[in-house]
Amino acid sequence: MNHFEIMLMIVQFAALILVSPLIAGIIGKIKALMQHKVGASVLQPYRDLRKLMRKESVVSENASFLFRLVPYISMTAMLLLAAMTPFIYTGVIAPYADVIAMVYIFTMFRFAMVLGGLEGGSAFGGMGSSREVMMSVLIEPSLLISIMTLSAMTGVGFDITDISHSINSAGATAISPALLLAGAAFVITMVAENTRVPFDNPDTHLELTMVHEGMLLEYSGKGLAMMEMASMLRLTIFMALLGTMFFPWGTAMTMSFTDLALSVFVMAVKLLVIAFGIALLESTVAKMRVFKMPNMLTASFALSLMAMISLYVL
Amino acid sequence: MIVTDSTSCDPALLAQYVKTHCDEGWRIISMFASESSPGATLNVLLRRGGEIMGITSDVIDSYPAVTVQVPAASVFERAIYEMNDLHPEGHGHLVPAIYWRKGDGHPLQKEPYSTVNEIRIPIPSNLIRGTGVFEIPVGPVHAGVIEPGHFRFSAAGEPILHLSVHLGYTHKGIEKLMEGPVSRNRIHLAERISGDNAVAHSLAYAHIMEGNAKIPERACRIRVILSEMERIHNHLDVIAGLCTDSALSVAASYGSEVREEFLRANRKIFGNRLLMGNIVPGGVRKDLSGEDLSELESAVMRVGFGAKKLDNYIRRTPSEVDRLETTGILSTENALRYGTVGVIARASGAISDVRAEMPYDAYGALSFNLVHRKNGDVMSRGAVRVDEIAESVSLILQCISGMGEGEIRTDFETPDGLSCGIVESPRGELVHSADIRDGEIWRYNIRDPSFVNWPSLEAAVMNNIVPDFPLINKSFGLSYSGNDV
Repeated sequence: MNHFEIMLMIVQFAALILVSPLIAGIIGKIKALMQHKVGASVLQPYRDLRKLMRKESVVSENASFLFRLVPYISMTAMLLLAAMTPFIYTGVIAPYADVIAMVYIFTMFRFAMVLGGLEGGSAFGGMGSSREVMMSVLIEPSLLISIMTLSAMTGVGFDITDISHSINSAGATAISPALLLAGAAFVITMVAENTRVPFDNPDTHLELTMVHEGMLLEYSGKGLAMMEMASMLRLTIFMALLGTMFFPWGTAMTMSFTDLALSVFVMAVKLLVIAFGIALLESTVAKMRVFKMPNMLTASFALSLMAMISLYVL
Repeated sequence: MIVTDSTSCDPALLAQYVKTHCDEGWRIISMFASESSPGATLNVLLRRGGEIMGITSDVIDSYPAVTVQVPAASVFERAIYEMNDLHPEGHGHLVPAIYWRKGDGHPLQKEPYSTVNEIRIPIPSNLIRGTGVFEIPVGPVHAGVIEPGHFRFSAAGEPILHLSVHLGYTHKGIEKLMEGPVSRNRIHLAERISGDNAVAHSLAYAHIMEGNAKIPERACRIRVILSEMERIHNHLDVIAGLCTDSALSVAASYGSEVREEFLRANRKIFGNRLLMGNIVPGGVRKDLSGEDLSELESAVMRVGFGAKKLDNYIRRTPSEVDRLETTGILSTENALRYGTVGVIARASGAISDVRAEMPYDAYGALSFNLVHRKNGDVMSRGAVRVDEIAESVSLILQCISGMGEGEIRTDFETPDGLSCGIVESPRGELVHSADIRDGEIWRYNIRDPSFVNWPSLEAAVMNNIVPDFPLINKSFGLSYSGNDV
């Protein structure tokens, strides 16, 4: 690693963080346009974060130190993940960029959120937490197996950058049933993990149906800003992983200027396509019944399992 | 109309007497006490098809509860106990409507109401105990822009074991404000009992004031147009709300768009988005010109198409249909037992519609289908609403095409005695009744359809899961303000 590469990795890390509110803004804007509404500016999430950072935090009398700690844990988890996510270059600054570590840092984040939801002492936080745990139990194996499939397919071990690099250099020959099935499973877990429609409605404040919002309900001010930022970052990380691990073509493998410029462009297109896909899904599908979520997540698990099996059978 | 068929009975026999009538197909539509000295007169209004009957009974302090024999009387007796201090013995569920209020008296008594003391009854918590059973308190302040109501769910995990609804946060004392010398001006008060049903409430009030006076044909037709327009915008609101609550955002905003366009047309033609100020005792305030009528026709046609399109969109979205079907089933037996009225009853197979059974204004001269379903789930209630919009459009078009020239207002005398105004509001059968003595409204009773429908919500949510409650509640579309008066 030379200095230039390290610089590049730091820039990539910063870009991933900076771009995440924009992605949330773009999804919101597309959804608004689909509903014949003007919608807020795509920059609105930045403004919201700035506003929240300035506000004071109100903490429930029943909450312990954990309540204040949770936003920091969440934010740290997401920063760790951002450091290990290839964005425009198949090399990352984090030395621990390992798929298993990745899955469990996601789990750590969720665990922190669940604790935060319970800490507030309100009924809605508890409900949100219990639903989140139910979903989490089903998301985790599916996420793990779909990513492990890639590792098994490429045979390069568990390092994220190696997997990305390997699929990327294999070019079109890497397109196999295993990759597509694992990709499909990953997309379902992405929607579920980020609590988007049809698993949860990110726009709702209908107290009784909330999952993610329920856990955030008691947070305010800086704590809320961090939790919101962590959630937006989580979505962007998932999108970036989909674009650099499952379908990595176009991501720069060398540090030449043309490769990097192309990579930036390709990544922007990928992010926009995924954002549009999410917005389209959220506009056309109703939120499913809570007890149907396991079916959908089991389908995702089955897909990832099939991906793994197809590696050895086909 | 004036209640002519009235019988008096001994309080001890009242429950049995009402029960005998209910077995014969009569239904309690309203029940209230009007103070006399000594004690009070208990009025029970019963309806069977187009017949109205009053049973009165002079009660001092307490009487055997009618609820024991006829469960549908429960909500009325609770209100009478709280407001008039008549104790229904053996009622068994005398929870107050208002848990925290200024004054410990009985607001509907004639003696001046003192606000010196304060009543604060804690809402009973943890009614159901057991392993894994917990209670979820929701409200009265909600996350959305809706009226205040407090809900207590007892849930084991997600399934709801029990729901108790606590209302009373918007008690305004309108029944008391209505008392006094007979005056036409209280129509403004009547319109504001539940703002989205302004036409229905003011119409019921006007019917009481008018007694049996003959209203000009043209005014009757305009009244029907107003009532049906109100039905359309209320039903659209509920349908769009169902989409919002199930996160079907495009359909939801389309529904709101159609409704908004219609409300603007309301404002243009009738001068008010919610059609307030149009009904006056003796007729209507504003005559419709030819231009108004053609504008009305096009607005109504547009809203009809919009509702159809929205319905198609919902039916073609499997995920939405999956949410709506089999959710929040209210069985026919429960609908009948609780005395449920209106759209909710019709969706559960308990068919009753004031417009068909005792036509008022111009309804007798118009033809329409009585929309009904039998499943009683959220989908059925939505479907009844969609079909009723189509019927309302047809009714309005009939009114426009058959509109003759003539007066729009007439003079009348308000007769003494017990009279009631019964109309089919968008939520169902709405009953206003008044005890008029010597040109003075001695006691005015408002029974919004929500008042009798709230208990059936508690029955419909049983065995459903907590996250489906907003959908069920929305499909009922009840008024908080109308319940609390």
